[in-house]
Order: sequence, then structure tokens, then C-alpha cells
Amino acid sequence: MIIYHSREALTARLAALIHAGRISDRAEPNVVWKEAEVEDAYRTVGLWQAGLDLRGRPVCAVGRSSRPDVAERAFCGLARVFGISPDRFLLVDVGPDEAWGDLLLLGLRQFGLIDLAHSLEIRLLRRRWRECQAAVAFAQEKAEALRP
Amino acid sequence: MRIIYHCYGQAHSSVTAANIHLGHLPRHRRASIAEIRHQPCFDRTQPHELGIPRLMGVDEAGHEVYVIGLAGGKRALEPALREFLERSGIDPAAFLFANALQHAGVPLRIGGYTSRRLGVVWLGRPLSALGVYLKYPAFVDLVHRVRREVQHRCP
Repeated sequence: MIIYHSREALTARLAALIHAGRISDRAEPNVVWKEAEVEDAYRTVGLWQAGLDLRGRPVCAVGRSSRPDVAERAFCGLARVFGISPDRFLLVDVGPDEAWGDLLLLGLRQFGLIDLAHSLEIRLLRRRWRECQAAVAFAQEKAEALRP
Repeated sequence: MRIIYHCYGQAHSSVTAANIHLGHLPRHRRASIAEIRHQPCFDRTQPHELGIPRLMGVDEAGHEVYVIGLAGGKRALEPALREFLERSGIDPAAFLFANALQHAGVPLRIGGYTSRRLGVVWLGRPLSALGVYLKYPAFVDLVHRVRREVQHRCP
């Protein structure tokens, strides 16, 4: 299992969609926005599965609302407690640690300014695209060592 | 079964709930401030330990009791962790997450921040203990609910 995590779920979802091959490099931001199910991204939904990679492993995304090191220690720590082998999953941190832009978007949505939030989310996705691509390239290399 | 009490900093709320669960703190009366201050692992977690599950002990029915701090991510991380375990083949009946932070009042939050984040232990620790003392019945209630749930799942 490959798990992308970011402060808010949107960036992790973008990376997971690229990894699962559901969007191409030239995809329109509006398509990405729809595929990422943005309306749902700010809620508490657990792991969001974007699809499977070429080897059939699930590619998931999560918004951690926390520091990346805390989230990674929690996943790895619980895996150790429950006897889940470290070669069964890969955690990939993507996006800034403190995503003030995402929090602003969340605030706009809470105030009902959906259209404004939508246009800013598309800009955000554009800005984070390269960062997500780099994270995916890293994850694809690391994922070679994962058990199917 | 593994019972996992979680809170913000893994130092006060979850530790208190776990110690009540394990019988290190009383379940049928309010613990004194001294008892709260001297309970195992109270106000001890270091920032680099945040997120690492800590085994606090095994209860009389053989269930392992853990504490974990999720910082600000309790609402997002708890369901994600639960789902991660389930997708990894762990039986959902084999673990139980309990949110201990819901019972942390203002004195406990300020005390915890002062002691753990600012490092002013001489002020933060007594304030945290006072916060736990004031909310003690709520922690006992949480532990009773968890124990009932565990009995329901593992009769």
C-alpha cells in the first residue's frame, strides 16, 4: 500500500491520482479538481483510495492535519505493534508541513465562498503539480521494494 | 485486544485514562492531585516521542493498553489509522481507539502547553494535574465506556 499524506488532503490526493495513472501530466486543472473529489477532501474520511499502481498495490491519500513526523511515527508505530511488516506499506510526505493556503481554502468553504475557493484550489493544484510529480517519482522508485 | 487511548501530546489525557483503566488510579472515587501527579508517565512525553504508541500495561482481562499522541490530527488521523490497520488485514475487533482529549478542559490544555511545549514544568505540571483533577469523573466515565465496549466485543 502506498500512502501519500499532506497537511490537508488535496495535495496528497493529487499525488495519488498521478501515481495511480488516473490523470495525465497535461490534464486540465478542472478535471483534476473533479477527480480529486475536492468537496469531500476536507472532511474526515480516513484513507482515500485513488486507485491501484501498475503492480496492483492500492494508492491512497490522507490529510493528516498534523505534523508529518507525528503522522509517520503513528503509522509506523502502530504497524510495529500489530506486526505489519514495513515492506507492506510506503508513506510519502507531499506538500508543505504547514499548509496555510489549504487552511485558507478550508476557511473560505466554511464561509460558503465556494466559487472563490474553487478557483484558488485550481491555482493551488497547478502550483503543487511539480512537487507532486517529484513525490510520485520518489515513491515509484521506493515502491519497487514493497511486497505486492 | 489492544486499546489505544489517544490525545494531543500523549502526556496527560490519554495517560490518565490508561492509568485509570489499568487500576493505577482509582475508578470509584476522585484521585487526589498528588495521586494524579505521581501516576506513571504523567507529563513525561518528549516532543520526539509524539506519535509513537506507548504500551502502558495489560489489564486484568489480558488486553494491552496503549497511549498515543496525534497532535492536531486526531480527527483526520484516527480514521486513517483505523482504516490502515483494517486494510493491512487486522481484524477490526482486535483494536479500539478511544479519544481522551475530549475531556481535557482549559486548565489541562494550558498546563500541558506550558509544561511540554514551553518547558516551564514547575508551572505546567501542577496546572495539568489540577486540570485532570477537575475533569476526573469524565475520564472515569470514558474508561467505563471503553471497558463496556471491550466486554461487549470480547465477552
